[in-house]
Amino acid sequence: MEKKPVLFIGKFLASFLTFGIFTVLWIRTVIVRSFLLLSKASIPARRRRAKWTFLAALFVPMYLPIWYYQTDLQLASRLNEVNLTKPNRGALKLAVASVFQIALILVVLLVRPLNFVLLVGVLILAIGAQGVAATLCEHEFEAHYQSLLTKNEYGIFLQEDKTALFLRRLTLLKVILGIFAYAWLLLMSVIVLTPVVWMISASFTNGTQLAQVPIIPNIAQWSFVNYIDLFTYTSTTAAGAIPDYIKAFLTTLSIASLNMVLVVVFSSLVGFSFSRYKFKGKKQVLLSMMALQMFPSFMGMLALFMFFRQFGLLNKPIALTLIYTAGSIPYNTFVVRGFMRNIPKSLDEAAFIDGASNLQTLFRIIIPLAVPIMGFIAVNAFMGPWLDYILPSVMMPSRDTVAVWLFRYMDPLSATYSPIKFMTGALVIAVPIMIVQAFMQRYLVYGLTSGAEKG
Amino acid sequence: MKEGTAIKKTPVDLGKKVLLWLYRTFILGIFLFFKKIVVSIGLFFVNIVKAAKEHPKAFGKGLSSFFLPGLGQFRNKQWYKAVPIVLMFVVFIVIELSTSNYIFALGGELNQYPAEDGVLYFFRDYGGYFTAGIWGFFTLGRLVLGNMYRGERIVVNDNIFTWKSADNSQVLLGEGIIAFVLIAILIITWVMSIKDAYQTHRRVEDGGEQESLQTFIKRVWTDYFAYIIIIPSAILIFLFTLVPFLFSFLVAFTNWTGRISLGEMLFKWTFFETFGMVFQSADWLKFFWDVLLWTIFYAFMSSVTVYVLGLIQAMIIESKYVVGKKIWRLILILPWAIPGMISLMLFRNVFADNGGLMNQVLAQMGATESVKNFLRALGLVNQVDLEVGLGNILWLTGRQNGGLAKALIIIVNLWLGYPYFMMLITGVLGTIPESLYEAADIDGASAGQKFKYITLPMILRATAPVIVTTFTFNFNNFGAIYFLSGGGPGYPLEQIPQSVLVLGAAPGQTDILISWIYKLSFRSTVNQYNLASVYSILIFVFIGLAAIYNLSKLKSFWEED
Repeated sequence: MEKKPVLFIGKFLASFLTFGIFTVLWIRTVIVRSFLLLSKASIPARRRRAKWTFLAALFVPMYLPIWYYQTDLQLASRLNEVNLTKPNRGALKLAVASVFQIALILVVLLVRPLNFVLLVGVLILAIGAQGVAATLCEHEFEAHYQSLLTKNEYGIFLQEDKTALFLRRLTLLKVILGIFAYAWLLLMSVIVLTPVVWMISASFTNGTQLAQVPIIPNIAQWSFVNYIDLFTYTSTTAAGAIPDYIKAFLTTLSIASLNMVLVVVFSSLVGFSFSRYKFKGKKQVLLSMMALQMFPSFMGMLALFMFFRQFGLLNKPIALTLIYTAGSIPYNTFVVRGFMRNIPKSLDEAAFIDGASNLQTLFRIIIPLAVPIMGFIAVNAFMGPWLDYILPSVMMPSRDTVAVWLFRYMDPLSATYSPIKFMTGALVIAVPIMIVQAFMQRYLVYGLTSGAEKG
Repeated sequence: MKEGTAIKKTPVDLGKKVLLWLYRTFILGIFLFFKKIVVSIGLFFVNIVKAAKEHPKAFGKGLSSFFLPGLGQFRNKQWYKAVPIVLMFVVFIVIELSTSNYIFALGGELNQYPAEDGVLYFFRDYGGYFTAGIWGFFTLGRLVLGNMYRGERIVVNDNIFTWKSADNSQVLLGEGIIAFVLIAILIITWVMSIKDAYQTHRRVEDGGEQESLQTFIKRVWTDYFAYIIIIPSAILIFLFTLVPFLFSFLVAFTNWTGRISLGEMLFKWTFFETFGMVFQSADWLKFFWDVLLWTIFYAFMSSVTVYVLGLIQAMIIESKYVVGKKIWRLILILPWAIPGMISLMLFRNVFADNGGLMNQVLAQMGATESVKNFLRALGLVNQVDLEVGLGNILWLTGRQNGGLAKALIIIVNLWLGYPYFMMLITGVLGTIPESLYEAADIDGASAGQKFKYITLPMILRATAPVIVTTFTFNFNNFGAIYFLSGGGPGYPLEQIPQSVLVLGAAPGQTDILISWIYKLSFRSTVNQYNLASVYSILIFVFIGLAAIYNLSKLKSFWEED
């Protein structure tokens, strides 16, 4: 289907005129009202009124789909497109939409007379824009709809058009559903973002008590005290000592890097073996691995602690890394196996005929093809140790990892107890991890779906 | 679709199906397992007799490897096989002898320090790593600090007369396990050497080539490549996962608690005594049921709610009404990107009693009272807690009624967990073929019908295993409890029976099994190692059930390729 430039431009112009103004107005109103509503300082009467405008403002986005729908209906009615939509229902919809429009005006009129003037202005503009759009598009529309109306001998339309389908299927129920969808997404976004924003605001608060953190972030009062403290605090008084945080960070970095290398090497080897060879005891091993991956490694922690103490392995990052690696091999093996099973076996066979050894097949053929899944495993293995608390706290009692060091800020019995500093430290750690996640999202989603379909 | 395939599912059918499944998986499975073992043992002997009759020479070589591992290989002129096998046995014997004190026993120590009242632990006093290890495993030690033994007083550690040192049950148990494992490896090598000696002779007899070192290495490298590349990981898993699990399990059958200060006291095998205490004492049983029911409820609810919300989100974002899908997705995926521990601790702060975001916002809006009334109406809070809170709502610390804390844990888990399913289901939605919907359109299906008969079944089929995995994950989701509520609020003191209170081992109201286990082993005033192990075993049973169910559903797992 050809594009209809005029149709597009007309609609865009109209949309811009009304939607743009509406959006700007709406965002401003919501922000201002919510501040008025939430701050204790404002006068009660003002707050009461603010509550109402706040609710009214929430109503506004509902108007947008109605407007869009009206524009299309106007066009359709001008062209007498009764074939496309039942006329009576169309009229009913128009009536309902208009009722919404009027109700909106009334609500605003009751609450804010000043805004009412503004609103009426905008509405006139909107209706005008609708007319402009419809006039601009009329010609194109007609030709387009004529081609749509051609039927074949079985009475089926030859062409389908998204706008036509949209119009045909649009019911009041769907308009309400659309409104509901946006309201829901908005609500969820607020729920998701509020704690995070609070956390950011807390990290910039100069104080020790949670109660000192303002509910609404006040950028003017932000201070970097916590951040400076974080990077400079040293528990030992020795000169030239590395700050605690840097030390914990380096320890964790070494654990995470080593873990990443070991896990990638080991689980791709095991996954390769399980995906490519038949051998005795394969099922049993797979089954026991399946069972093993369901138990957190810290269930055997008591024994590990005793063994480590006996062999002098406590406070050794390498020993801790080995626990992580052993714990994550089973799960990752399944991921790798699932991926490698989808690499066609004919590749191996061809290599075998050409005289390649097992090792050559693995390194020259399978591994280059399995890079995405190895990326997925590598990221997971690297991220895993950063915020694991229990194992390091038991296995390295006198050497901090980032998580142990963070947890101390939240422990009321600790000398450094300070929830606000926890938020600062957590943010410093979480942001890089989130950035890595964002970059690796493609692999992560890939790993997820491959896990879901193939088990 | 054929006619008559749609049989109405009645509850009776479902019950029968479940029973049948249980029967097939367990009763039949266990029966078949034992049958297989009995049959294979029988076959083993039959085969031996057969081999002795039909191939006496080859059998003789096997027999020589039976008496002296490696001898059969040597007789087959395969020194390159004989040497490693012999070397392995020599190493074992050297370890045994070098760690033993047999020489002192022969040197007259037995006469110098005679056994009193016939009490002499020969392997304890003189045995090497393996013999002493096995002795220690079965006895878990006999002598502690201050005991009189062979006319001498036992001390903490005596470097000259090692038998004068006190026993440490925990070390003995650990060393026993390792000794057993090493002996098992030795036996496997031994059996393999017998088999190899027999088979090599047969191959030569049948006109096969005598394998040279090079071809042997090449053959092993190609034929056993699958095993060779697994070995490093197997060793790692073995040492750092299996042996510790084994140790933890065995502790359940002892009476080891923190009250036993090792070196001065011993713990011993009590077999099912701890299990008896858990299941017979009403005090413990009450807590066990409380914790278990909450664990199951939590695991179930947190999996289901997360799935449902993920589904709703995916459907809404992917629906045609929504513009700016990428931006919405970016915002709504945020909880997934934040590391779990940080989000949980953040929510601990959000719901803090004093100065937490929730209480602050409610106070600012003047809505504290109405929320209190609302929670009261739901039966989630107790009046006493509200008064203790002095105007603040005790979200996670209300002792009189743990309902609020429990509800919050599930809600916070929902916040954390739904993006995973949102992304998963979005991915699955992309894989549903468009043709299905087109066919449905032609048949005149409504949107609701399309969702019910196309979208939902497709999603469920693709994600069913993930739901069970999520359930098992949540069953053991230690972090969600420990970082958010720390297992708290504790039960009101008057509700804790004296026998549990003195041990300091009572769970909090939101503790799930795994976090209670952690408390029992590491945090209570008296570390209840054996109790913790008993509960670990119970977790294994529950998770095992779920795992078996999941595996039986997962066809792709069993498909050989």
